[in-house]
Amino acid sequence: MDHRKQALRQIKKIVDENNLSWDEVSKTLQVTAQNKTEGSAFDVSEMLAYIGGIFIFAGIGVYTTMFWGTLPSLSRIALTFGSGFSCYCIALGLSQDLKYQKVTQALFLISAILQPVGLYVFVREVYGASSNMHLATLFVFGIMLAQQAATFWQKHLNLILFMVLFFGLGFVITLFDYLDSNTKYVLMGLGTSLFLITYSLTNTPYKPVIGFWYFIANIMFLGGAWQWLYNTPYEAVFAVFCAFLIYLSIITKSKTILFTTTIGLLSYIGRYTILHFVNSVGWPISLIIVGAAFIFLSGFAFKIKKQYM
Amino acid sequence: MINALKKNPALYIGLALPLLMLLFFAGVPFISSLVVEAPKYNFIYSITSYQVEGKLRVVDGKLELDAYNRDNHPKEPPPVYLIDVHSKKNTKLNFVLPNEDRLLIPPYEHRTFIVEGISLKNLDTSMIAPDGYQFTSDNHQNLDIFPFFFGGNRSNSLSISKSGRIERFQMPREIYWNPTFEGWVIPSQ
Repeated sequence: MDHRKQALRQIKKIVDENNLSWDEVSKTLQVTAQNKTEGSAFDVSEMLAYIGGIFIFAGIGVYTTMFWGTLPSLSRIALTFGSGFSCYCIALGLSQDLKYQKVTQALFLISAILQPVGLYVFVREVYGASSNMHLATLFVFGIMLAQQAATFWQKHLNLILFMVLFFGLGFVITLFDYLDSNTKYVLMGLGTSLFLITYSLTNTPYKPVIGFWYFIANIMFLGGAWQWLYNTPYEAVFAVFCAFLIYLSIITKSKTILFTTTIGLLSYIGRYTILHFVNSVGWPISLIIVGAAFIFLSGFAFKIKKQYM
Repeated sequence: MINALKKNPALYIGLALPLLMLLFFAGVPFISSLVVEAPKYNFIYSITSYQVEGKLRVVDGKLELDAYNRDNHPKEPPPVYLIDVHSKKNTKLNFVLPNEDRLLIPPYEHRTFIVEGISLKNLDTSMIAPDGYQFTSDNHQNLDIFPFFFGGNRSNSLSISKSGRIERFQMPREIYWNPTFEGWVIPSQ
């Protein structure tokens, strides 16, 4: 809401500074809204442009694959990294103008795919196929992280933020894998870290990316917790973790966390049933009674909250 | 800095957490390598398949392998390797046949082989050596986030650890089967 108020204040300031009448502004806004409505309709030309772009991309890919064996090292690097970096430079240039927003996003996306591929090709051509892939990945993801973070600092685009998180997570995971750190603790720690970073984006304009990263963070945390507790006397603690995450899903209002945690909890209940109550009729009945009790309690808590809080 | 932290604590804690983890995971083995003494006992592992079963035993200071072929085709005995914990050298041990002239074990038969190049007092088959080091196979422990890049080199290593100090030993690249720990070499005096 603050952003909307701020935007309206800015419009008022521009109107005052340029001695515009409200009729003129209103007319302009109506024309823009009309364009927007027309633009949201099925646009054949835009669709054909996308299909054309895919065909060009596929053509270059197939051509490169066909003649890859005969190409010298420099050409291989130029074809992959060069194309990606060119796309990145063009996207940077076009991003100055809002009317090229769609093209800019597409070019940033292509560059974020081609550049790492090109950097891997560079490592392979320079250091050979047997080079340490951990170090190669740290090199590639480190460069990409630095580039995307610097771009995000200036451009504040959702797509670039997504790439920052992607390359950042890839870099950190590779680093811990290289150090041969304990997988379960790494997954739990990085899952928590990613959750906190994603949570900090809740009240920002970058909200569209948070659903996916909550999903990844939750999967990582639950995966690590499961590896930690699996086949130990404390295995039931996994259910406590799930309960805590369901509480977090309510705080963050995240359906993604709720979904993944529910899957985790149901899987745990399934395993527990197979291990201890495979032929017992009492267990499913107990589950139904406990479930009904929880639903009754939630309804009761809702009433209390409504009346007294 | 404090104001920024107060304004968005989740972001700063989220960013600081991997750094703290890095300090911990890199720091503990480093400090342990300074404090905990180096391993003393070499160890033996074998690469067993489900077709050939092998058991090692010490007879008169010599190592013998008793192998049984469960398959209906003649099979070679499982390879046995010695790891020198000081030089980190991985040596494939050769076999000598006491009476037979062929290395292949006939189907559903036992064969006893003498393992060359090693003399020992005993083979301690417990997972913890007398000096306190514990054998841990690294297989399936890495993250494998990028399956087409990783897995090969890391899954081919063995490690022993004691109080946070970890010693790793690379296995030969041609090994695809899971290694079986056979025991710690207790040297003859």
